[in-house]
Amino acid sequence: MAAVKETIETVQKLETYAHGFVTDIETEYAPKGLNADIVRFISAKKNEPQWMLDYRLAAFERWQSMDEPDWAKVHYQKVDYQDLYYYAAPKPKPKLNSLDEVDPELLAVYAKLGIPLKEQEVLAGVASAPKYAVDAVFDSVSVVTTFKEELKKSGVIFCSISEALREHPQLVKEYLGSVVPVSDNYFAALNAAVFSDGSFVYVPPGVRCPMELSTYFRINAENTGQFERTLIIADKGAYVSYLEGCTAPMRDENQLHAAVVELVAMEDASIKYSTVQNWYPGDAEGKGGIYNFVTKRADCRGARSKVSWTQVETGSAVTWKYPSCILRGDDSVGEFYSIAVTNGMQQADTGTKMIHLGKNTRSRIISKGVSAGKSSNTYRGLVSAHAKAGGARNFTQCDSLLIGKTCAAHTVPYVESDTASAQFEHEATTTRLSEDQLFYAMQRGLSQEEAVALLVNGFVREVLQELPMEFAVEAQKLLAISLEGSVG
Amino acid sequence: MAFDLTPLDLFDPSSYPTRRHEEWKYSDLSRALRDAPARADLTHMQAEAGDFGGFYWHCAGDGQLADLQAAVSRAVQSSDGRLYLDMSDIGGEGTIAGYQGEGRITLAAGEHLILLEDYSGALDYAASTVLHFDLAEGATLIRVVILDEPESAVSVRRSTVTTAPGSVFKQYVFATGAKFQRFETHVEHAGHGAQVEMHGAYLLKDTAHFDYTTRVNHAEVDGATQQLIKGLVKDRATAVFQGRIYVEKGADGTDARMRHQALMLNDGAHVRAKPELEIYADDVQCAHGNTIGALDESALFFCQSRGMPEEVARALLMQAFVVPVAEQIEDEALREMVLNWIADKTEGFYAL
Repeated sequence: MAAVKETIETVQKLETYAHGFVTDIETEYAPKGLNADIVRFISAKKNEPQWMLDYRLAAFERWQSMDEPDWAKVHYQKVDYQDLYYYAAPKPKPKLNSLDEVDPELLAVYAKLGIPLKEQEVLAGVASAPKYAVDAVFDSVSVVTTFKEELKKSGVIFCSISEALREHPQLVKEYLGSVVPVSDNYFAALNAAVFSDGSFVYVPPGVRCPMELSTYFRINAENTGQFERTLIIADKGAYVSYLEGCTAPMRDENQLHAAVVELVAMEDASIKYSTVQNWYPGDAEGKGGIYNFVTKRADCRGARSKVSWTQVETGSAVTWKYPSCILRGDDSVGEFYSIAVTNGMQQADTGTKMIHLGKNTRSRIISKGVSAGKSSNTYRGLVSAHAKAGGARNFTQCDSLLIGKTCAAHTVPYVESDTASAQFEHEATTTRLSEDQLFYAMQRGLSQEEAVALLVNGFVREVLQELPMEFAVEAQKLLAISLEGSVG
Repeated sequence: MAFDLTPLDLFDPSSYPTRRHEEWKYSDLSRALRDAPARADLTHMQAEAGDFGGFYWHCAGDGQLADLQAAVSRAVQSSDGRLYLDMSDIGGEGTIAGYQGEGRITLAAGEHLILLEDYSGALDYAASTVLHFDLAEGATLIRVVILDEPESAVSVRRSTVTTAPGSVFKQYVFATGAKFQRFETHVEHAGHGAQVEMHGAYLLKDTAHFDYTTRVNHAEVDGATQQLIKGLVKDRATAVFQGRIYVEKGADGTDARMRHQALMLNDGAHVRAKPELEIYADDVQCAHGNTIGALDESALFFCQSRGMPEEVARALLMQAFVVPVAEQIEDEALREMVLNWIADKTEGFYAL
């Protein structure tokens, strides 16, 4: 019950979105708007090679010919793409050699968010506490990456993608856009044109990454869009676990976050990718909040490779996100565990795609949607088996929980099979919070809100179990906060 | 309530929905029918009322759609409340005959009708029919549909159903597919104890295409919906199931369940399923399940270990898979007729 008690305490302590502060930091902007010159500006800012600029310009051209998708069950005021800053970065201090030289104001931001950027602070904890390395992305740029040296010893490359473009151009060139091509969708094309930073991870063959890697995304500047690009490659037999967290200030304007994440798993490699998404969701009337339009895809290229997506989605005004797996290698495995919580006026349209191409590929989808307030929560997923994907196996379970009379929950699964030996099972349920359980919990002395938190934690526990421990505790607290005020 | 039917005019190819229409993503009419067919006479929908002992199959004489309601009234007043509706289209040889028609059936309060719709046409034709059913309070409609059309047929059969409190609508669709065959049912669920059941079974081989699309809109409280759709797909055939249960705000107490199960008998066959739930009320019980797989090898082994030849065992298991749909038909004569029809049609599936 310790976790429950903690949840309750957190609920009492925090009344609203805790990460909504703005940091007054000197910021350098690109001129407002989007055109080929802005693309060139971003590329030049990052001293990119010519091929990268060409890649961006081609993407920009493609983007201009595309239409914004409108098939998702989300309604929002269209983004004026010319009214955004596509590049915003904290003014760089000359020559940054170590963490001690990072702008103290920036460090303070991360301290406030509870993200340890100083390696010694991480180490200062309990001796047995697991270490994790952090890449901190602030608006458009990566401000610091910790534990780089230690990771280097085992051959793991963990740095910002801008740095990777400079230090390891061959790797980037080989893999960038190989999972999510430029023309994949509207937001992916936009991202390919203007992405500013993000993380790059390469784990060499046979290496088990010695610590958890994580990236923390923070939007700070006003009227900016954040376009991060993450590329993770696990070479033969490698293993890596990667965590991602995100927050943004409270503002009345909507802000755009359009990221692309590409994962490549070679033979026998395994990638675990966990997200706790807590962008500012807007206020109770639906004013403000982040538009989270993200393309995440994993390519299980080698035989017996495995990719596991775990996501806890509590933030954002509008979420449009489908972390997917292309199961190309024989016997490869894809997993998707998701908790999506919407409250207030939030809208989420999220799910996954499991595309079975190789033989004996397996996938598992567990999706738990919780909607409260006036929110709308949609699971949208595709499971498909190619004619040659003999022995493909999928199990899907998506459950929706409704709290209150004004929310909505939808399930839109697509199941496509072209092979007789594929075995696909899909189960979905939609119910409300059980009155009996609520009554029982309250009769034992819990307040209504505490009881709801307890029941919701129970509803999503199968997914919480998949999160790395530090995140699981975090996520549990977040759930309680997100649902605050949803009953009565 | 206005039903959301995609406008379609057979004689105007520009009106054909394409795969770009989300609702027609898995069934491409404009590919199946490139040009407008030659306009044939109004669909010769034939109705024959009264006791038709054991539901025999035949093509009835001339008749007009306008006679439909009169036939229904006679059937409702007859002792067994049954109506046999011959919806078969006879096409042209070499030319594609186009049939397009619309009809309406109204059941008054407390009326009870068992309707057998027979779509077993011949030769080359393209048909688009829409049937509207209006059920008043406490009315019951049992609808059994046999879609046994020629391989070359292009057939879009759509219906709308309006229910009222306490009414019962049960639909059983049995299909063998065609070049293009789509059966669409849109139901406006009145709740308040009204019951809707929409079941179906398909037996598809060669290049047959069958699309079963259902929509149920729960607008009021305490409505129940049940769906069980099962089918066999062989060779290069395509089965499509799109089911959507929509629960409006305030339609509390809704209990809706949908299940689709497909058996794929060889690689290269296609199954496309999209079972959707769209829910805006909280006090509801909604669920859907979807499974796609091959014949259970262990069951096959069990049968064989009891001395059953493999072919017989396969036949038995295939029949056993789809038969539960027909077994739900309460009317004994009708049930027997459908079971015999299934036994007859599954014969083509036994070959190893």
